[in-house]
Amino acid sequence: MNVIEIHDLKKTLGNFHLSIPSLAVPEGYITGFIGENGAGKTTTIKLMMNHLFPDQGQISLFGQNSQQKNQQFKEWIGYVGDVSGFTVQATLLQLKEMTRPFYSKWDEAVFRRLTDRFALDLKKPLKDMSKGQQKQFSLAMALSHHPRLLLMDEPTTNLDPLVRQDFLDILQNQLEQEGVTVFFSSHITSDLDKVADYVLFLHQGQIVLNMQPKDRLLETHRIVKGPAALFTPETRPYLLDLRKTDYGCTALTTQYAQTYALLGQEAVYDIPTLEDVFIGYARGEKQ
Amino acid sequence: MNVLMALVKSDFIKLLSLRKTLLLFGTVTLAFALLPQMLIFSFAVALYGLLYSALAYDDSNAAFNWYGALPVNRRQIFQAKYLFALALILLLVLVTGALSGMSTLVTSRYSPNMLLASMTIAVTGGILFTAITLPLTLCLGSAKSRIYALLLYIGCFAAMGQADPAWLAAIVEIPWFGFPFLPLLFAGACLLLALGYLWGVGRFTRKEFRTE
Repeated sequence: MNVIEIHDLKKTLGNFHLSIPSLAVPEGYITGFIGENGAGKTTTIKLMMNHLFPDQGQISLFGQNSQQKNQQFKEWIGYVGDVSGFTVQATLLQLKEMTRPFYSKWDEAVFRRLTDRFALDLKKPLKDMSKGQQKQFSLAMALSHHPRLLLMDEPTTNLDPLVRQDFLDILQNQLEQEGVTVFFSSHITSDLDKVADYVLFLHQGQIVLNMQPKDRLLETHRIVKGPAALFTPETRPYLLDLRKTDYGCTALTTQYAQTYALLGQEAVYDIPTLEDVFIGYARGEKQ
Repeated sequence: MNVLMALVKSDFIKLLSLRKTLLLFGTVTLAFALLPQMLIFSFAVALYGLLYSALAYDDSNAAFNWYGALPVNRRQIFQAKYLFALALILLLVLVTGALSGMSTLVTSRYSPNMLLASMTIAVTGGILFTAITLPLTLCLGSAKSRIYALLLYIGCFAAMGQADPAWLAAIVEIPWFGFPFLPLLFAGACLLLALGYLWGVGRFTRKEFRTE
């Protein structure tokens, strides 16, 4: 079953145009939504949450139109947005009291366990917390009502490496224990390298790579380096972002096996990171 | 808990969290409400401070991101703001009325009828203020609507700042097209509240929750 489905989505905000012809996010996996700042990740997630309305197209969550009058399906969603919208003057306990009544499955034990794990002082106002602690609190709130879908917009931004790792561990635990689907936008691709099952790339409002299993993506792609003479026109269909360097040429190949058949051992093949692949696709789009 | 009640409760918790604002307006209200002729003034200060603060802090905290994550729709959010405003008016008029009432018992300067008239005028002004401020603030944001709100506030309450018994007696007894003035004014305020709701609810349900 697909938890999120998008068909023919278009949205214009000033000079920015978002266009997603189709997207299907399967249940029970972590999907990484990668894009540079301003690519449209936040806009897409806000459209999913019905904070913004599409100019065209349709978004379904759990098979229901996200724009329908009854927003009860949001009880199944844990949302960690770019801005939480919490009253920063309120204490964490007050914020919990403000939010808890809306969720029939609110689990006080989960809330306490997570806030203890993050060592959050519930009697302190949110404004006295660091940005990282505020994100941790948002995650604790989002997970305390046993969501089926965790929708997060740049959740690891501003977190130090230790907290970020803890954050990612919690996501994986949730997936293993409760089968939560996670949709996770980020421009910090190293986080997604660790946890994502699927990835999609958004660049300047356009999907440049749609829902690929991450491991397969990294298996099929390689950074190819070699003398410029090697990169003949017949290699071009398999290459993205071909660039000249001081030592020859470098490119991202989308089809490792075919490229290897053409270039053989004269070229060097490095396993790319998600960042390499994203940059390859983003620049490839420009070329 | 009913969704609307949960939303109203969240607004009251929000008010409790604004400690300095609450302390400031609470002190002013308590001090002035002990003077029966200042009941309307103390009510007006408290209502402006608390209702407008709650709305303004919603804006400054981009609270619609929080509302937008909850399993509630925009119509329910809008309705809950009205319920919150009316609950606040009721609470404030009871508090200021009780304080002024105690003071009246001691000083005997005001009659119970005059006190009741003051409370009715305060509630009427509060409803009038809410009728216009609330839909404007919810649909346009507190920054854009603050000038309208301030002008309206002056209009609603300026003349009523200090309610002299003679002035009160006159306003209560003025007939207007054959009707007693005060109930007519109250009915007008309620009608405006309903019209403001109808004007705003459609706009608010079409409003996008953007983080500028």
